[in-house]
Amino acid sequence: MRFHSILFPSAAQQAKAGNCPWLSFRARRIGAEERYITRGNKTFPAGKNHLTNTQQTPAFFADTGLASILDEVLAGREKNPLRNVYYALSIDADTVYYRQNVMRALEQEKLYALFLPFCRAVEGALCTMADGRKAHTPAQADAYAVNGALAYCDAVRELLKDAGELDIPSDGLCAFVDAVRAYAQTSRFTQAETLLRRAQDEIEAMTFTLRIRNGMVLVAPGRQDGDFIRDTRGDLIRVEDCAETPPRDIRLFSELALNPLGMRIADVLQTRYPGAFALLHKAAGATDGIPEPFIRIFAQEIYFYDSFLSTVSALRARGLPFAYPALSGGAVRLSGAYDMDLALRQDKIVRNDCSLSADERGIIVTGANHSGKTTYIRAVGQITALAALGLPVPCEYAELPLFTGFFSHFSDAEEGAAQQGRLKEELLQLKPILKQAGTGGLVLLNEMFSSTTAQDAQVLATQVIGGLIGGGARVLCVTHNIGHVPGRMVSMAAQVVPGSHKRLYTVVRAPVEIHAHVDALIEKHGLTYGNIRERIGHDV
Amino acid sequence: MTFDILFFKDAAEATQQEAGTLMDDLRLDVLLDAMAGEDKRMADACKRVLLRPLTNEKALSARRNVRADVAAHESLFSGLMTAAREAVDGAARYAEFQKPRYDHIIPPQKKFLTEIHIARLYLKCLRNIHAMVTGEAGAFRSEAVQSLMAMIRTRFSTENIARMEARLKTLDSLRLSDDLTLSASVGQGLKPAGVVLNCLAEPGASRRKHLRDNETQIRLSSTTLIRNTDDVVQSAVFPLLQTMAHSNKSIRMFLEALDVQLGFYLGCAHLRDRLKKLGILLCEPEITPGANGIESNALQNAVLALQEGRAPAGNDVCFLDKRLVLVTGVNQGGKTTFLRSVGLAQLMAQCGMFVAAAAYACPLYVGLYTHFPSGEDTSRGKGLLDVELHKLSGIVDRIRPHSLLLMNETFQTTMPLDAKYLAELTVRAFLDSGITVLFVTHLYAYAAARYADHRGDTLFLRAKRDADGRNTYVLQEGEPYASAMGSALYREVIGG
Repeated sequence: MRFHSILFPSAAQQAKAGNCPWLSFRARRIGAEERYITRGNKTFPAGKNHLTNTQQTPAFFADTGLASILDEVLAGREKNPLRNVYYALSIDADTVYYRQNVMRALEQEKLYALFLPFCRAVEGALCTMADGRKAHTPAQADAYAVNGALAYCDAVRELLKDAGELDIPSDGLCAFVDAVRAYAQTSRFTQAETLLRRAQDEIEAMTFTLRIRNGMVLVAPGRQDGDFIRDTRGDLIRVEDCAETPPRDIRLFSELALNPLGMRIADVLQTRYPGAFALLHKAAGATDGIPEPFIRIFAQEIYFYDSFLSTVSALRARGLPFAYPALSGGAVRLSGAYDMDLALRQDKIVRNDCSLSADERGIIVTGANHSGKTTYIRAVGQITALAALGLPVPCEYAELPLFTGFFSHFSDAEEGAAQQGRLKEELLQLKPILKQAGTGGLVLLNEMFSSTTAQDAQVLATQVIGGLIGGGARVLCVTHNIGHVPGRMVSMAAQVVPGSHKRLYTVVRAPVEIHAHVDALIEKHGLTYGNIRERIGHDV
Repeated sequence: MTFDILFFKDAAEATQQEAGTLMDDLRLDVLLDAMAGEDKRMADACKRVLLRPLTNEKALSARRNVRADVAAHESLFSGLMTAAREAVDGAARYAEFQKPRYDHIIPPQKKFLTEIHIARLYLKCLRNIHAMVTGEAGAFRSEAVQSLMAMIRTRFSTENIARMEARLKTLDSLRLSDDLTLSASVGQGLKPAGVVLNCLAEPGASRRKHLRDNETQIRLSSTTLIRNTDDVVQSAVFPLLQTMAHSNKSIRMFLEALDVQLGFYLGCAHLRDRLKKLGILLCEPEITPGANGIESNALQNAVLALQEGRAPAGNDVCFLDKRLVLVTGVNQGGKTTFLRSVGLAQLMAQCGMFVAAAAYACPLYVGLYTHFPSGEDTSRGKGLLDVELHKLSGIVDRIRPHSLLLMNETFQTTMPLDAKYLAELTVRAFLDSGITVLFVTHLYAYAAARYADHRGDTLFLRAKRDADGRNTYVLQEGEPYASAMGSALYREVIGG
């Protein structure tokens, strides 16, 4: 059997993708039932607000907001084992372009309208066939199997009919269509199809009349004339004709498996139409091995693209751009980048640029509280990860290297209860990152060492960053206090309107803001000039 | 809505003031009382209409035509309204059986029987209405009324009613037993598809057990089978119930609309009778859409007349091309009454009603707003001015250009100097936004300053006493009047 996948060009590349050592860094925010807050000497269970990031989520996904993007992208598809495909970040450049081509092809309306209905039909057929296994009577099980298998055959025919006229600009999709075409010409498929269709036609041709009288149920073959409901509608006076919803169709036996009465009716039909039922049974025997495994896999894999594409088009409709990144040797150039997680939750979005030459090892972002520093590195983190998945990324133009490792360290400033213990814990968390993030890794650091003294924090941060870039990793670091920018790092600052505290949420290259830390503090406590005047004036 | 003789779709709604304040400020409750008396439903109908003035000339004249027709055939229309109301009330009693209760679920068949009862009730009413309408000889002027009458004549014709009656009789058989025949073919998973209900109890079929040639009987040997059979019957009856319920609902909506819409016009007829008895002059307002102001002779306050049981003094008023009317003058001089009478007349005119005046000509304003601060809103623990400004800001949220704003003693709650400043600021803002303002005020300083400006856009009215020092309740045009409220009141009460 040949290898068919629209996620990987070859089996070897698929096998490699599952092997991501850095995925073992799990989100520190774990399930609510296991999380406690310590205040003084008392311990309280945490609220439910940390539920989204479960133990399964890699730390990098949780920290950059990719986890909640995935929640949104995969909403309603929890059953599909797609999440693990998203976690398999370490793929090679070939695979990235392979996937980009599939995605580009699916963005064409015609191709989307070709493949997606096909996959839905195959899924529906699978469902119907699965229903057959829940039926209580052999005849009904046969019927479901035949119905499902025939729906699958129809979907295959439909796909081939439409695909012939289209030009498909993706190797993965082309190979799939070719494989389906070859499969549809095998005698196994054509013979099964003919048999199934004959059986279904015979079954659908059966009709019966059901008479219910004084506690008797009488079944006879053939239909009777007359539609009582339609006649009643004609006779009743209605004042306005427009707003009527047509009455519901009569649906008997809503449950999946036939109930006892349904079974009795089926029994009667079986004695009346023995030929049809014999054919049905024969046809059901021919449904083994339907659908083909590679088609079934395709139907699952396509949702990797479809689910992301639907989120992308929702954001595009709001005027937010997405771009297919080009892979570079080391330089990073992003323009108009934004935080996709934030964009899914709020209307107003500020877009930023990011550029690093191949020599520059990273960025240090400073600025006032709530001025968009963390959002900035989150956005960049998201873009690198999505690029590595071969997906379009939330910015106008993107050119970036293919990172091989994704690490993040976002400290929770609120949890600083025991000073020394907290610092030690933080260092313990940083240790494996320092070890593993060698060449080609990306490390996001957010507010390191906020629990210790400013002096300590500066020294430690400089050491950590120096260690990381010395090992060849790229670093994005958000901090309130860093004495000087280490060599080969770039300093960027979140902008505020000069003279006021209005945030612009843009981040540009600028020297480190010395007063940012102090400004943020006095503002937090309401001690700016304006605040003080206002408060004193009010008391008087 | 099945028919619309109120022309509601042309009414302004979004820009109107909060209903409660307009009701209070213009004392509309008194008017409603005269229109509907004890009849709460009619009062509700009238209130709904009064709070949604029309802004469309065509709809307005159509409404006036309907009003004339209803006045001319009052007995017919009040008969129609009573008949409709009785049927709706009767059906509402049955509807009690339809509501699900905590302890049991009503089976569709039972609901179905209730619907049949309701349908019979409506049928009786429709027959009644049809008879009343065909018995009416006179002609109707209004197109809307004509088409309503035509609809009643054709839709509820004797044949249609007989047909429905016959159908209800067939449906009655469901009351006796579950006799029905279904046809179906076989669909997915051997389940019946394309199910059609062929008939209920077959005509002429005996109740005896017997099989036809090709029929096979399924013995209902277990409770499960019996329950399954019941389910089948219920699924088959359900669309029938939907059809039935829809028919009933549409008739009910028609009858309710008849009740509500005729309620307003009959209310107008009642009001007219009441006011005429009091000797109030009534006129049909003359609507001139392009005009810039109101012109009226002997404008009276209908509410005051109803309250006091006699005709109050009438005012002549004309502020064509004036954007601001400033009313100053002595206490108890009829200023507020005048303001109310203008508001009331304009509201009634824009609702397609008559106006209590000898003559009344007006444009159609986009909205009508009142700002009558009262000292009672102190509950929120804010300052009086705070409350007042809050109220005014509520109006600013809603008011649009080409509206009429009535301000009564606005900014009276603060110091004169502040008040003058506020008045200048807000009035200028309103005028510049294209709003016509009638402002009753004691702010002499403000009025005098405005008078001294000699602007052409302001009309100054003042309430004065006659030579004997008695209030005439008649306003005259003239220089603002330093009211010296306190000293006048002092003289009146203490003497001096």
